[in-house]
Amino acid sequence: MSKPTDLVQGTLDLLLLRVLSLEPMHGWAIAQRIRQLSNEQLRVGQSALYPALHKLEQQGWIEAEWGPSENNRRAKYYKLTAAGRKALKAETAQWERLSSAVTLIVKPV
Amino acid sequence: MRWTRKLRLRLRSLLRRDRVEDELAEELQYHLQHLIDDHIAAGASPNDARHAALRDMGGIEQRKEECRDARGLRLIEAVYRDVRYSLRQLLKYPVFTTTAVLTIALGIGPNATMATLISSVFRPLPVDDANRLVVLATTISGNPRIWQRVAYPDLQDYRSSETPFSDMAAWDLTSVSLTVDGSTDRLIATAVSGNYFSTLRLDPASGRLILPSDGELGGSQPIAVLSHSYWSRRFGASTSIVGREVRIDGRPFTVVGVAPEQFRGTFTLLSSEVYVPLELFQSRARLSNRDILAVRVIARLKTGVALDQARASIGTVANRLERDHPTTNAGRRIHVYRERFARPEPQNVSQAPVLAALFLILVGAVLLIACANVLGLFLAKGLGRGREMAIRRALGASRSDLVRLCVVEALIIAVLGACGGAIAGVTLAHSLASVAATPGFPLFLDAHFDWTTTSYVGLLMVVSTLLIGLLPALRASRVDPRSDLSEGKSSTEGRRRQLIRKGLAAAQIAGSVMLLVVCGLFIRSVQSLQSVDLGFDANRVLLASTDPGAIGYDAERARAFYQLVDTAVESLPEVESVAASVFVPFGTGNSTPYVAAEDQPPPSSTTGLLADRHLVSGDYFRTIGTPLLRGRTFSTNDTKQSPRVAVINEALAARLWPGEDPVGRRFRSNAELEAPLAVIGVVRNAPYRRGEIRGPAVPRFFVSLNQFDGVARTLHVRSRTSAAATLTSRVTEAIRRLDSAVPVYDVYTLERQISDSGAGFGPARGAAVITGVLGVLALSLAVVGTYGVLSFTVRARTREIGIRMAFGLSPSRVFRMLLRESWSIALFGVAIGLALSLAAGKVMEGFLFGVVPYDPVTLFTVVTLIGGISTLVGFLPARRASRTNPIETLRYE
Repeated sequence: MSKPTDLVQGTLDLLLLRVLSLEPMHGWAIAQRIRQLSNEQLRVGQSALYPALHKLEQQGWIEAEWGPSENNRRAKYYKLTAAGRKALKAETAQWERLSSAVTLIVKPV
Repeated sequence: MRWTRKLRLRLRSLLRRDRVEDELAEELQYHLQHLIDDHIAAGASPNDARHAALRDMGGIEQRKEECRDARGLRLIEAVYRDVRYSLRQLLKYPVFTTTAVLTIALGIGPNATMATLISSVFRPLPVDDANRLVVLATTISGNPRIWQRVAYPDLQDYRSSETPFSDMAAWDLTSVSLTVDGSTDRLIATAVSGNYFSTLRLDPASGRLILPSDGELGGSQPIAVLSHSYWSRRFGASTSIVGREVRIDGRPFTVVGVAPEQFRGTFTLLSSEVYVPLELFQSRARLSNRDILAVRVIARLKTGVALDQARASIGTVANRLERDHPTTNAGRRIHVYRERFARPEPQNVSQAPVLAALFLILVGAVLLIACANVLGLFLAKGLGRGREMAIRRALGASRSDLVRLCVVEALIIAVLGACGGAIAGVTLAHSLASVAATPGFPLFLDAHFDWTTTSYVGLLMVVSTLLIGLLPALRASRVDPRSDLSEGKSSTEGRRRQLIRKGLAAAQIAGSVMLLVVCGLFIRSVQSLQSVDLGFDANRVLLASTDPGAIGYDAERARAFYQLVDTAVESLPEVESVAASVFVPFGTGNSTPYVAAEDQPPPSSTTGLLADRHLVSGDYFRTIGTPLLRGRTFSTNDTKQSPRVAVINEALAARLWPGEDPVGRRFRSNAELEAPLAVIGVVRNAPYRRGEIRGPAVPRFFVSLNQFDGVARTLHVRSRTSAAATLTSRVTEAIRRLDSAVPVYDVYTLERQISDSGAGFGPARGAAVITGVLGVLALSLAVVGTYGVLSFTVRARTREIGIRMAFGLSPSRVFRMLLRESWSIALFGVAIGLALSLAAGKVMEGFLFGVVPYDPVTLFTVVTLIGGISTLVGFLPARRASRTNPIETLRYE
């Protein structure tokens, strides 16, 4: 199990943007979705999740809105903005470049 | 788009803090609830589930803090807290706060005033692309003078050659009488060439402006354009003004339009109220004479042409003209200056910026003194605050937190002081500008708060913040909780801190010494100007100007009118004699033709001698008190029909006929080439220009008003008493009784003309008053500052003095010891101050009259003054210390 702090710098941002590109969701759901999507491989702790969300909001990549949750309580839903969509594209490309480069090196000859 | 969103988010976080905080809490609470639910689902009891969830979260408060950090608000919030805390602190010490704010305001105020005045002088003209405007000036080799005018034929040649200017316009100032609805105003008028307004790229506020299509020289049609301010003032901004008839100097003119609102003409310091064609105000003969520098020139550089290129290509044309017209243009050079810096005239181009810089330095010194004072206050207060800082440090405040707190405190003081100072300073500038515009001297300064002043004051505010905040901040950052909190720390401070404080006091004294010396030098200049024997009795002579031409008198009628005026005024009991002239000593109007003795070649700029020409009546010399040395003055026998005669001064006599008797000799002037002038008398040299005081006398000659027409004249009325001003109303009435429509203006004594006018001692006097005020302000601040330092030193050394006295030091020795301290501060201050004043004196050498920059009288006076004051200032704290009761002071600790 990897902790997000072990992730390459900026990867958490990419994960959050990617997950939010599916649909608007609140913090808890984001954490669950990342776990699911990574086949329980990645777990995002609260200590990293919320500051990262607030930072992305401040950057204008995501915006927040309050709405009713599945258990009928008020929850803060985050959704991707246009700028966020652009950033996701750029970050994804960047990630692909990086991971393929790393793969090239690590792969046994 | 994105930054506005960000800004909105930040502002929301900042301004709706409670709301944002609530949301943050709710968001994390929601997450926690899910964790609890998970644990319960896994079989834990609600209580255990809650604890486990809280453990998972790892502390809700920490998470919140991280989120706040992520929002980038920690610094802003911290500053916000500091501001609130500082405000509370400052309110708790109202005396300290008020003193500090007032001191900064006193320091900023003069800076705001000076910046406003300077900015109003050097503000770009309110026209399109003003920084491409340049002015031309003429010099003649071998003569250091700069003429602000150019010969019109030269201008035509420059215009037709391949020059770097897209347009070159000619203009000149004149004062006119404008009559409408039976009343007459004396106004400053600009006589302009047809392309004047198009060169400036101005559009009319109403009607039309004078256009190139009216004629190269503005055309021969009598048309006039009014200034916006005169239009509003006199005609209530009525659009029906266009097409209206007015009389200007007695001639009918049609108003064709109004100039734009902000435009005040192209002569800074004066507000031009009416624009008329140049052609109607200067004779064709004058304009076509290459030897007469007739017009001022304003030109627009083509885009992309640098000033140096322009200078080079003008130089090439000047060389060609020198070859083509050697009799007139030999040695004549044309200079190109940026309009904005050649103010008010090209001849000031090297002086005005230096003077502006000098005054900015002087007011800057006042601000430095004020800051030193406030810094002293802060440091004194800081000593008692070491404990507070140490406690904060011990409670976990970082060094940067403490530094920030100190800087924020300083910033609050500086902001309050700067606002107060700026408002007061600009108001002062505004009223100074209106006070300066006294009748007869229509000085115009458009003094208002503009961006230049605002940013300058803003800059000074930042500088003052750093000056008063940095040192306390550094000290706070060095606080060590262990030693600073420990008990029994001696309150006698270290040598270093004492040195800093004494250094501050010495610096304040140094600054005030410099200001006082500069002020002293200006006062001595005025004294030296006034102590000179001017060769006439200025305070016995009342001046009164009239212009019967304004209401249509021709030369003949005017002459008859003046005869009546002469008789009427002379019959007043207090009047000794009456004379008339066209120009006034130390006035702005003048005529300076070239002259040559009759047996020499006809006078021109290359062959002649430059001389002042005055038109006067027969009893002029008796009236103003200049003795006639030889021959006679004008009599009633000198008429238009008789041979032309002149009275000359000694200087002209010595230049034209050295060592010979000039009476009966003849000379020519290029102002009246048709007939030579016969010398009938010689008068003593008397200065009519400032440069003549303690300088060489200017060659001067006088011709008779009976032989040459001058419709607008200035009466010189000599009083029997030495208070000529009392005659003002009686002389005015006497003239009005003869014809109430004839405008009478500028009625004041010759004394005032000399001491107040711009051509007289006005500037030196103004500088003396300004530096005097600054000097007194600086000295008061320095006295307060030094007193503060000394009494603080005494207080801080109470224990030490107590011990010394307990060991037998006598009170009188304590007294002397502390007085010596005061003197040593003063001595350092004076030494540095004198060095600074010598430097300042060197810079202002060109503005002094009859005084050397190291004038011993000034230096001695200032040093004595400072010595006396520092003794007084040292006296009280020293006496207090000498009365110390050693037992009490030791018990106090």
